[in-house]
Amino acid sequence: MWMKKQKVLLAVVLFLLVFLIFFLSWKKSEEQTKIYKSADVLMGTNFYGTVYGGKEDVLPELAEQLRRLETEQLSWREETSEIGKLNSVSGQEAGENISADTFGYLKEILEIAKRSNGALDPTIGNISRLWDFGGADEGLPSQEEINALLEKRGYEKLIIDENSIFLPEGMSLDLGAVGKGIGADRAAQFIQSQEGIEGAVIALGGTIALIGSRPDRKPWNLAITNPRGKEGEILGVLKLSGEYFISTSGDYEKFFMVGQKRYHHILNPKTGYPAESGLISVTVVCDSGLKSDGLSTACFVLGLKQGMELLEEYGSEGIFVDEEKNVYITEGLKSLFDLKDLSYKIVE
Amino acid sequence: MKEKKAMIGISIFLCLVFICSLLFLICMYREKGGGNAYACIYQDGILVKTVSLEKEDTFLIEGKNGAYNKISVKNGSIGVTEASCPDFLCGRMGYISKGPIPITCLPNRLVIEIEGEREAGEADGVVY
Repeated sequence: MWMKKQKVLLAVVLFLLVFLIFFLSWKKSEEQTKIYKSADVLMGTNFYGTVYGGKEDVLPELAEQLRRLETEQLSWREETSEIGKLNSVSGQEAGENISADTFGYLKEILEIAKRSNGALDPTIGNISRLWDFGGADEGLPSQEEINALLEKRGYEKLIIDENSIFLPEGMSLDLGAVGKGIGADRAAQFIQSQEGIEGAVIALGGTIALIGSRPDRKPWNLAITNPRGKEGEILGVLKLSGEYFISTSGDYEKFFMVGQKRYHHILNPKTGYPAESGLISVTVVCDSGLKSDGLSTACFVLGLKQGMELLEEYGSEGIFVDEEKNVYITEGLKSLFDLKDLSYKIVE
Repeated sequence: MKEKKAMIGISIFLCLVFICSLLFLICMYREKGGGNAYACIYQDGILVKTVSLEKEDTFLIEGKNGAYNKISVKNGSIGVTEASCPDFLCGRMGYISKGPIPITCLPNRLVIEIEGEREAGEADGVVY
């Protein structure tokens, strides 16, 4: 009798084992969405792309599109780009050869400039070229040099109508503060137009686009760089489900030291010098790359209080870090951010 | 007696099935978990070389029109020691071992990125 019982037991165990194997291999095969990766240098910054799913690797085509966006539209370095052409005809009404896209970008940038009271200013091209952070001529300019160029800036003097743009003579546009964000927007549009892609993460410098979803449907994990950490250290992890654009602006990206003083690349358009708002890093999460990129720069310049107000006006979320290593998080991100470096303190 | 033999046979068979499936699963999950730190070298957006950071090594990555970057691996880190680019910013970045910030050479369109064990390794992306 017990022999029969044992046989039944064995059959059950065998069945369970087979079931387990099938279940685990099914789960594994579900995980095996094809993954395409690329790392490159595009739009003057690091580009990373990870694409989950899709019929073929679309990253080379995306790289080509971003290269064209840079050389044909946004770069002030290229005389033939739309921004290059606008700069070359400063003092005259222009706009005939400007694409609807670029018009749209400029209008949106001007809107952020107005709402931030000039903390983001697309007309500081001459001054950022003088500092040349990360370039061959990087160095501390004299006060006289800066003063001379301060007169040749001012977003309020830039006039954008329906079909025309007027940039006063001698002024120069520089979309450096939002270029990566525009690139991330373009990348998201491109990925969304492709068939069969489940999700993608595209990073261009300090801006990341989260597109679609992870193959396992779990939230995306985004590491935020530790502004005062050693190489590779992170401040914390942000868990986000859905499609978002995230940008960080910090004083640790491009800078040089003169004695004990740090000169970083985020310039206060009003003074022509690196912003000293007490913040060392600002991360912004919102629904567009141009906005997240532009707002993170503007918030960095404005400081904590005004920066928070600006984000509220735009319905965006953010994480601010000040020089005392205090971390301030907007309401919507509080439960999604996990602080890893405990030398920092979250202030409620 | 016959039945007992059959039972032993079935038991051995079951054990084998169990061990095999266990091995199979271990292999599958190990492949996912990665292992030691290694660096991926991309040129023009394409992965051209993967190198372990465990072993000392020096090699040359050549590009178009005589462009080159001489790359060294030592003490678990990787860096550019010599390059054809005029600014040599890639070399000025020194050696990296953990990421997340990669070494990039803009003129030669070269990116050196650390994969595998690192603090931000679990992340889908790093904002910096």
